[in-house]
Amino acid sequence: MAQPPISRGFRGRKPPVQSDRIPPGQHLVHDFPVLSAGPTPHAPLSEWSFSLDQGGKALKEWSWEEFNALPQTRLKTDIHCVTTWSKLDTQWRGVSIDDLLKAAGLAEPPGDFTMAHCDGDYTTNVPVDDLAGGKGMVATHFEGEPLAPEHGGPARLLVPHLYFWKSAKWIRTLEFLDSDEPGFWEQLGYHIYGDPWQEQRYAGD
Amino acid sequence: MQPHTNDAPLDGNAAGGLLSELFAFDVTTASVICEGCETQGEVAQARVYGGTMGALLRCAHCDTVMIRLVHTPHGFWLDMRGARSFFVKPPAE
Repeated sequence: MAQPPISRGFRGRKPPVQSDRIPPGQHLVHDFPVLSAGPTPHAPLSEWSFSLDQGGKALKEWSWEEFNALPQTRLKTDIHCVTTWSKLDTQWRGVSIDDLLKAAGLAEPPGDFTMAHCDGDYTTNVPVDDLAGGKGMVATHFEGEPLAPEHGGPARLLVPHLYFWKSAKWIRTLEFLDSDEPGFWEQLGYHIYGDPWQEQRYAGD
Repeated sequence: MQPHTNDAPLDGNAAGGLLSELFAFDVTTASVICEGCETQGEVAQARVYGGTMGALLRCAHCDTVMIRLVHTPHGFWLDMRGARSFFVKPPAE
């Protein structure tokens, strides 16, 4: 089977020196800590699907096989967890939100905000402007390997410029909304947006 | 603060300290009815997830999130929509 095209995607500015890459209040780690809001799901890939939704209806749904045939984007980026660890130069592969919209036949995102819905009843809200334009993807691979279940495999949202709870593990649906609504942690005192460079950890920060 | 590096859940006793700051009784000795499966069980038997972000007590039978508790620098957040009711025995004489 022909390999899907690899877009260069996510081309950013030249990385600054390391000390400029650690947001305030963060510390550098070299391992990959696991933080989960629930048990790790182990559903077979034959039962996996991913959809873009609006108003309770699927605009487009992909099986695992279909999803992996979509154009692939590679990304090398830093990630920042609200629990104060940061990890540099992590390497991901997956399908960009731009390519998902295109594959769904959507010329424009059908809403200004999104809610990611995941296995385990986890949700998180992300504005469309933080996903489209090369800013976000649904990642299926980490460091060249299929994404491990404890790190969100088979697929997680990746929005690396926001605190990592926004990069929802085990994503199954991205729902488009007209207004911003708080997700799982955002209902419990965590910041509605979560910019690590502004240290937006909690509501009121 | 050390990151939580193991996704194995703790039991409900792990959240006892946080909950004791909000309740006048020892919540871990209470029983709770899960909104998801209506099973009654001891709070101490619930499974606790969330690591250092907060305490999420999930039903040991169906994994419904019964209690969510986050302690931020600004105060406590408590969500119990997944817990239908609690049963608390009076303290022993």
